[in-house]
Amino acid sequence: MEGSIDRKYVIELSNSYQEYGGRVILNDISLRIRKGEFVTIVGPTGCGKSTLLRMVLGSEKPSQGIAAMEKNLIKRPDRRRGIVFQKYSLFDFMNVRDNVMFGLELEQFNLADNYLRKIFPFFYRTKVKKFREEADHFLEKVGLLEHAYKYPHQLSGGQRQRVAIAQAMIMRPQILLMDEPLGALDVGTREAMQIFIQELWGQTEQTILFITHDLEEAIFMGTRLIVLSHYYKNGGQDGSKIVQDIKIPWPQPRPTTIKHTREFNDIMEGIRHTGLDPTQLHDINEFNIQHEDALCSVKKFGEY
Amino acid sequence: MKLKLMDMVRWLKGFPRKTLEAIKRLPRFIALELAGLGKEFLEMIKNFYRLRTTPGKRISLLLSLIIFLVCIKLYYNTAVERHAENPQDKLVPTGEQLWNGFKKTIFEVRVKEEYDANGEIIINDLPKTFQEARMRDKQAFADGKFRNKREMWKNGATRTYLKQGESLLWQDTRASGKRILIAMVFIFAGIYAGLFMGAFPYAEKVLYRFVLFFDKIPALAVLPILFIIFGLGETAKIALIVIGVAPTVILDTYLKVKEVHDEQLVKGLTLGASQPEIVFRIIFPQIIPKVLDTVRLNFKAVILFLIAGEALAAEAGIGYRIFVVRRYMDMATIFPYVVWISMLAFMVDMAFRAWIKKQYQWLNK
Repeated sequence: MEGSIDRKYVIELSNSYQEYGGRVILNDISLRIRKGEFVTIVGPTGCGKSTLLRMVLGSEKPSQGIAAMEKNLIKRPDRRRGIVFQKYSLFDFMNVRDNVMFGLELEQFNLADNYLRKIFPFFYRTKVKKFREEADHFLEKVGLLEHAYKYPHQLSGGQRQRVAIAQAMIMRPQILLMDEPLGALDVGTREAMQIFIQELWGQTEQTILFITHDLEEAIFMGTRLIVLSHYYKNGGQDGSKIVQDIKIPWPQPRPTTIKHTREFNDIMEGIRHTGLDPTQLHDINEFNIQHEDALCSVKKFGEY
Repeated sequence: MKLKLMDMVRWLKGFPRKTLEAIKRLPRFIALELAGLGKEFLEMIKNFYRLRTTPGKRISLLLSLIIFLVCIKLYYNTAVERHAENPQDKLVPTGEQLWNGFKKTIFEVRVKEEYDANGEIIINDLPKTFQEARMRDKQAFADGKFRNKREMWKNGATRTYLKQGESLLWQDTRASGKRILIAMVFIFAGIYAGLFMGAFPYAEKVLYRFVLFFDKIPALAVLPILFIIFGLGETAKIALIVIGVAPTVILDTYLKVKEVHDEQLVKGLTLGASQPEIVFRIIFPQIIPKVLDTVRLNFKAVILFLIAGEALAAEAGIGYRIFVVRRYMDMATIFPYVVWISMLAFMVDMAFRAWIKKQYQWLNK
């Protein structure tokens, strides 16, 4: 692509396939994510959203193709990619502040240090103090400083996810992956968290890859929307493809009122039509891939 | 700290007044309690066959005591009957016999005998039994040799007597305790084996089948083999306990490690944890309270195998003593030992529970 020298891509997937026991889950996924983007991925149940995320994370290797981060192959999860799961992101045996500063501790202290600092706390005081200050800074950002000494089970679902976000963000990862982080929350909390994550993204310019099964949420939150679906005229192939890759027009943070505008509903209807409706099967040439970073332009299929 | 001290002083100052008030309130208190009990009793009659009811506090206590009281009464009746036929009966000792047995096992000291050059016993005027020592002390106190009871205890014959040696119970407890402690060290090492087995798939392949197989061997069946291999010493008894209990603990730890959600490990990796850090800083703290619970519940098995090992061959030990005095049908000695070992087990259990509750507050959901 011309004039792409100043563009910095964090994640690049090219022609990646994923299959389990001969069954193809992901079919020829090519994807580039630019630094500072807020990408949401949406799709029907079982379409391989989480598989895609795990490929980016590194806990699964693509069975064919390449998953790379900044020109390096992704081999295993490491500290450059943060993750927030729907559940079990937090460590139950530590209080909130320890959870948040856990990453810093792991980075700076080795295993021997961890035991030595219980015996000689004096030698580690300055460093631990620094960690605490940093953790408090992030806790303040997510608005949970007063809950610093609580254990995760004493927090509500939304608070827990906020702590998980702080815990991941403190490592300053290149990309923050979120695997249906708001899936277990009730409607009110969910909306508040949507706005909160948007605001956080606005403040920190953190690259985010956000996975959800809720279409409204996906359109409302991201700057770029990718629809992953296996409902298309596959011509003998199976597995999910990127069927839609569009830019969301509104600037962030967005007021919740836009959810009721006509334009919003139009986008939603379009996606439902192409991606989420099993009765509506489209040809691969009809995919709505308009985003400037989209690699999977169907017209060029023959060239790969 | 200082505040707590002041509180305590204040509490102590108010103590006599409070006691007096409590005594004054006592009749009213008893009346209220009885009224409450009656109310709860009526409620019980009404709701006895209902599934979802909550019995009152007083009636619960009473109901849980019933079977104990019935057992005691039955025992007492049997003892009285048997003693009517034969006053020397040993099989069902009366309260007095039991009390004497308790005193004997707890306070009787094995007096060391000293010999002179010719091999004859040096006769000293030290008391030979606990009873005798007590009698001497009482006599001396009546004669006015001691100013108060404290001085009597400090300079009296009882203390000199107790200092001569150890009581039977204490000797046996020490011998058994040593065995249990050494066995527990191995069992705790088993926790680490289970941890590695659950965490590292290659270690699992090496160990899992073997431990599973070993777990199925009844430890008591290999007891003779152990005695043949290790001789009649301590090793065989400790080995019996370890073989009996360690596989359970190892396998339980293994299962607990397998239960840890994969998300947690991935999360650890994204936070920059190394492999050993994942094992010791993420998996281990999560499983250890549950594993300690398993160890706690298996303490019963530890004692079981201890007694089995000691029953066969030993020089001292709780199990050994019980099986030795069995030959003389000395129920008055067996009872205190049974009570004592049950109490020890209960205390260890309580200590474990208190430790887990204090140390792992995140568990109190």
